Amino acid sequence: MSETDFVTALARLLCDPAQREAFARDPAAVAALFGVREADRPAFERLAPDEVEMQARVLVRKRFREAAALLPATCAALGAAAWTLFREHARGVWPPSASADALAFCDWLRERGEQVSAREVNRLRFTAQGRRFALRVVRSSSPRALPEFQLLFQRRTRVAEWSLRLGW
Amino acid sequence: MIGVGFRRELAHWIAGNPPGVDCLEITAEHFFDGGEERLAALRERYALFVHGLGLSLGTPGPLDARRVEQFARVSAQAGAQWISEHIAFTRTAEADLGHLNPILPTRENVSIIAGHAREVSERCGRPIILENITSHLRVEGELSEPDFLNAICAEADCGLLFDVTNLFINSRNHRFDPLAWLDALDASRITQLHIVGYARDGDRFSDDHAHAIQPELLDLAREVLARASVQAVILERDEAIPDAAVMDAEVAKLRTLFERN
Repeated sequence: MSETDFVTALARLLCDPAQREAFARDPAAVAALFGVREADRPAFERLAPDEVEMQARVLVRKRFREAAALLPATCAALGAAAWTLFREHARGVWPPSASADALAFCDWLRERGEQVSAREVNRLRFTAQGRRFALRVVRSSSPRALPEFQLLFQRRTRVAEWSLRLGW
Repeated sequence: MIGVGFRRELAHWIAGNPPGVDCLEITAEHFFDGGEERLAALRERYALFVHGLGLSLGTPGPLDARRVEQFARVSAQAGAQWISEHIAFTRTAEADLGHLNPILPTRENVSIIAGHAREVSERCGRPIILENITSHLRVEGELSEPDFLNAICAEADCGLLFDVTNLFINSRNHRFDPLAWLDALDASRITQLHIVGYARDGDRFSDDHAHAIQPELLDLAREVLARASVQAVILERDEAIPDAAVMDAEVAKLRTLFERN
């Protein structure tokens, strides 16, 4: 196995709560598991577990701020629970981008039966697919409400959006 | 020069030609997907600097070529007088952590960061300055933090973007004397300052970029200005953006400090 440098080993620790728990119990065992190279091993094993945990929390908080900016309606509906739920979602997953993180959070919320904004999910999927144009149907959770059409259009640097509500 | 970090939420205030603002610091990543017209308009009225968040200079191995290209393009569009990045890592081959993390202060890492800084500077055709970070996590290597910064700046032959708030926060969280730390730093490298109020939760301090500058930060900034030939001071207000009168007052505080020192 090739040796792991300090930066890679620290990043693994910061991304993975199970490894942080293992590190708090036995830093040397985690260093060996990661294959941390000899020159970096003493510094790696000297890291304070409570400080690693705090730094990891800062990273998850930053992820939450970025996801919340993409999901204002979903997070507003969740209220104060949004951060707690996001922390639970973030445990053990580290998507490659803020939009992928926001989408994964929506999928996770749906699996738990929480309400998410269909318009926000449509917008995120549209951006991820890299399309120029899309028409989506937005169904309300209320069975009496009529469906709404969401028109998405990729401009040069942002997504433009229009809604069409049916009614009689 | 006194200036602010440009944020979309501050655009209206900046459009009103706030008194005492000479320059703006542009965050490169905010312009990776466009915004040339806005940069052109800002460039006509202000001296601009371009600041990066995600080049991850401390990650061993090659830099992300696409990001460097995007950074160079924004720097050129802004006509940046200089560019800046952090002494930190944000990414590895396995994960993008999305935020700044500390680098082990070793001679090997001096060479990695200095080499990356030189590469970015050459690609952008502009001088680069490097910034000290704040971190809840202490990493202890062969060098002290001031010696690490001195060695990087010497090897890259670059300036230091000295974040006053970051030093203050680290000194409180990790319990050291910030003036002794400053005395160990080669102050002749300090080109620019960052400053913004800190947040406090019990005995933990953090940089949420959402508070007015506290008096103890101004005291520390005064100590830096007494030691260094600073060319620009940038207010880094990112969150809880206050109304125009408060922003004006924050800039006035910095101008008074800068002119008296």
